[in-house]
Amino acid sequence: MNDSDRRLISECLAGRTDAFGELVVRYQDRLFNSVVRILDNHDDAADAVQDAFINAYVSLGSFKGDAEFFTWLYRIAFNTAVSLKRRRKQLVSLESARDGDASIDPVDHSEETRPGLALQRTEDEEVLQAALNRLSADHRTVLVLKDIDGLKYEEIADIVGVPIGTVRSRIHRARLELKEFLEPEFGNQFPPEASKG
Amino acid sequence: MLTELQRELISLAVGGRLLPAEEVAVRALLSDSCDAVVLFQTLQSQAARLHALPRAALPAGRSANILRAIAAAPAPVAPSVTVRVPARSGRSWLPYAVAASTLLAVTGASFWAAQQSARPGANRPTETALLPAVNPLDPAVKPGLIASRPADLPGPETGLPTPREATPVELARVESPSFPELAPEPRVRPAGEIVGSGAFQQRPNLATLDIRLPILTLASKLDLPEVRTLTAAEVSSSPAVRLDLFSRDTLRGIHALQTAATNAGVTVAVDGLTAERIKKNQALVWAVYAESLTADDLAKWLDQVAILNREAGKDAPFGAAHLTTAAGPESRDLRDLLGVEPNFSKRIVAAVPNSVKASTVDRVALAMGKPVKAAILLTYAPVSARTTPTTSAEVKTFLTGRGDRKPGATPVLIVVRATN
Repeated sequence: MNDSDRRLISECLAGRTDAFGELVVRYQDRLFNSVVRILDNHDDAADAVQDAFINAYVSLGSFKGDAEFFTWLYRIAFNTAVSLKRRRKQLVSLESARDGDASIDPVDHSEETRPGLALQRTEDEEVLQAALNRLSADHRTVLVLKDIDGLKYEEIADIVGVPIGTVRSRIHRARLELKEFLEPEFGNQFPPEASKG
Repeated sequence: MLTELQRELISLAVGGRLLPAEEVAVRALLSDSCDAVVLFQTLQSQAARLHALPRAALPAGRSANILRAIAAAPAPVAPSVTVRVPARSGRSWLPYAVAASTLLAVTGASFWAAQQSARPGANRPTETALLPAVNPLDPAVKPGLIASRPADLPGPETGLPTPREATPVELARVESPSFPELAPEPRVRPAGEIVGSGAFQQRPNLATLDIRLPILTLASKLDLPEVRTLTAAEVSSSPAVRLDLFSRDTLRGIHALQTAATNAGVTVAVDGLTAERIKKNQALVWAVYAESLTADDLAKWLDQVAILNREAGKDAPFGAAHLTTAAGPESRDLRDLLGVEPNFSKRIVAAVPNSVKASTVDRVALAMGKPVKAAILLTYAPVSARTTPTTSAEVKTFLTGRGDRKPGATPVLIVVRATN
């Protein structure tokens, strides 16, 4: 754990709650960017991040400091995101059963459904996000943490709670699956930076 | 075509750390295989596209919400730090010191107690202490009973003034003259007397001892004089005898025994069921029982057995012969075979006048048309194959015609059995 995080945590535990505000500002966007790629919903991702920070603050006393703070924070956030996603799925299932027509999609009033938002996204982003959504939760999580957030195998293993070998295997499977999903869209087109490398 | 392992190597090579060996393998793979190069570039571009996705930022309002929620949330509690207080060096030896002191005290006390007990007369109960309190003025008390220190022994030098001897004053006379007996007086025995149980006065004379052993011989030697003598002695002295004739073929054996009986003038009646089994050549164990044979009659029968056995040469029907006194097991077998108690003990020796000899009885019986020397042949073993006595006419005839046992007759059970 870096010294800055350690100092802020100590100050927070000593009673200066503003120190935790600094930690929130430091990690909120990075955390949100990863969670939103997993949940594919800005509001849910924002809720998950907010819950994660509050839970981390309340249980800061149990943080042992033998790992990076953001790793611990990520673990809380991803557990929260998984729980949130599970609750959302159950809610949709119940509403569908109540309406008697399971084929009708539930009405989403979140910001994500705002008209014109989709136009703001590039075409590549839409295709990539759609392909990510087709991956299983385990494969999507490790791929987001590895390729989007750029974490190391050890950090991913610490966040997900599985051995490094499992992380490597999941990343390999996720990449091949994603390749299968993206080939109809991109074929063998390589972005310029990749072709140069 | 790439293998699964090669595909995994290439996949992990995209933006990941590889082990040195893996890195070498990947380089070799990329230099040799076009498929590997295509896959590597595809995955690399894919990872680059993901990494190039626009960064999403938490909405500003959400950040403020988080800070407000944190301000409202209960403050985190610092973990209670457990501080290990090292034990004081001055107190660490305290339990050992207490244990050592206790051990030392116990050892010392034990040693002192042992010394005290080893001192002569110290704190040991004496005989006088065991006695009830006796008034020394009582004339009934025997003199010298109360222990007193001899006058010539010096008293303990304690440095204290000598206590004044109290003059005994008779206050009351106790009427308890009975003196308890401590132990009986030892009995004085004369020198040389052995202490123990008395010697046996009626010792049996061990100079001669008669041991009756069963007669075991070959069937071919049953007619030898010495064997005949032994056999006659055994039969004459026993209430009943049992003769086991061992045969390789019990069927041939029983035929030979019947032939020998005919030659010796013994009439052998055959039980019906047994006759059928013999006719069917069933190799069972057979039994012949006779009550009217004397020792001479049996000897003649065995003579014929020996003769037939010798004549047969190598195909002798019998092997060994074993003669012994019949007892309880034979009595039970005969009760099972005949349905009546054989009563071996009923030996008639003096009930008939000596003037009436066995030969006379035979002549009278022969004149009456009765078989003189009757025997019955039955199935002996297996037990389940034995004839039920009440259903056998031959058994009934045998039992009816046997009458009183003639003088000198000995019940004899001959068993023809297979050699083991």
